Amino acid sequence: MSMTSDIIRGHTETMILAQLLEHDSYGYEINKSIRDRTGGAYEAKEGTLYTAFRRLEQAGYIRSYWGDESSGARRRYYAITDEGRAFFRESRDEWQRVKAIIDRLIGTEQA
Amino acid sequence: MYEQLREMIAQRLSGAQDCPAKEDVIEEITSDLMEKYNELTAAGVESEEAMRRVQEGIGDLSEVTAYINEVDRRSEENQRSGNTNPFAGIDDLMRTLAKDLSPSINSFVSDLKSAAGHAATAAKDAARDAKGPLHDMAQSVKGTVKNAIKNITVSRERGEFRYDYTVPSEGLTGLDIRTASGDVTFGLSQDDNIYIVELANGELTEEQMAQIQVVDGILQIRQGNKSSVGTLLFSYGMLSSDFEIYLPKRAWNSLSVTTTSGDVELDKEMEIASLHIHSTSGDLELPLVACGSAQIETVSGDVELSGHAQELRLVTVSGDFDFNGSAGRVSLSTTSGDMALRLDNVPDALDVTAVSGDTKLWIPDNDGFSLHYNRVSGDIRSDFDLKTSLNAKNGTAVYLSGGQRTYSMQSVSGDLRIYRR
Repeated sequence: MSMTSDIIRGHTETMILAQLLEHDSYGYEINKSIRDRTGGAYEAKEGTLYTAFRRLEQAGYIRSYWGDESSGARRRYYAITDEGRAFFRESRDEWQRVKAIIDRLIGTEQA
Repeated sequence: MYEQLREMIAQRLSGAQDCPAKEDVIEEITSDLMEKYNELTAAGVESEEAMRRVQEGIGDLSEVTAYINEVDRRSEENQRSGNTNPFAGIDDLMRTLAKDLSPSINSFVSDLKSAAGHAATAAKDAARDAKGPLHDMAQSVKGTVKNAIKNITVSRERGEFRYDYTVPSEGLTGLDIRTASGDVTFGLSQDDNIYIVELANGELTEEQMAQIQVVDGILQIRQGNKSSVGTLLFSYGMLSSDFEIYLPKRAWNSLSVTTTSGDVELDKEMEIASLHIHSTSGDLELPLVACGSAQIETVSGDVELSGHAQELRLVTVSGDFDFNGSAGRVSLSTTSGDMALRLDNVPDALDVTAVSGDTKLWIPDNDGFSLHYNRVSGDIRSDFDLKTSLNAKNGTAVYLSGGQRTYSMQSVSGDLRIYRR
């Protein structure tokens, strides 16, 4: 499972952008969505997610704002930017290319 | 429960400096974890177990800690450099004098302040020259120096005062040029003379004209003392002049140009064994040079360099760097400037030190290299098939068998991309 985790974690930023393409969201909601969509197969560690948020924000691919919750602590929401959309498309295309190459090399038939 | 969670997160982030960025991160994470905890307990999980699962899910916060400290350090630098008063700290600067701007850790000096710093260095050099052995030598050869300049003519051209100096190039091995604010442009001389044209925005006295002398085979050109106070500090309110230097077509042993805000443009296809350009905010255009070694330093000027250098060393704070050509050994250092190098060859050695500036490198396919990397959050991507996963903070990634080439990269948040040409 460790190789799988490594590979998936390397795509954390792209996964977050995919979530934000649909609508603005915050840390825990994004993590839950990832967990649900993978049927529980993958749940990101908070550390991984928050590092990715910072990197994406520094790169200008997302921006953040505080919510105005009436109770409890404030949530930090993220929204994708135009640069973020462009970067997402690039990353997704890159992944498709990688996937195609690996499939070709190791084959998709059961041995 | 909220307080308990908050305390726990603050504990996990104890490596970070207390600052607003840290508070924000603590609040964000606590809010999310509170929601996770509530969902677990609402689903019937025992409080203790829910808390344990929440904690377990956090993972490694060291990069977040590093990010907070970086933000804190940068905002401290900004405060200290006195954004409202650009001349704040000038006295201290004059006293301590500009040190080498080593961009690996220190960053973000406002242009005016560093211009003053470099001008202070120039002033110190001038002062030292005035009292030291160079001055004595200059004094003793003053007669000869004046004669070395074959001809000085003055003319007016479109409101500018133009001073033409002619210096025979015989016996000269190199040039050393220093200006504060003037641009320096190089061109081709049609004979064996070096023609220096100084274009000033006002009439210059002898002291204010370019100071030209030959020392040990090096032609030294210094922008004259333009201010009445006698120190080269700021360029507004003062006379300034641009230089055009026409050199015969031949190889030079050394060419050194130091400028504060002036732009520098070399003639294309110059051959220089040792090229050294130091600029604070001036932009540098260096087309098709052929160099043994090229050392380029800039604070905020942008640099466009093409040609060939056996050894290429570039240091920038925030200026961008664009290189097109070939280089044997490459050493790059940036704080926030971005660097893009398109190489026709595969360099024997490469090392990159970056804070937040990104580096993009295009090199042809090759028989292998190994990349030692050390980073906080910068990404490394390559379309060479690198054997080791690049998710760790430091390690070595290898292309093919690693070959004889060792590349290294250290970065805080700057990215490195190595593309196949």
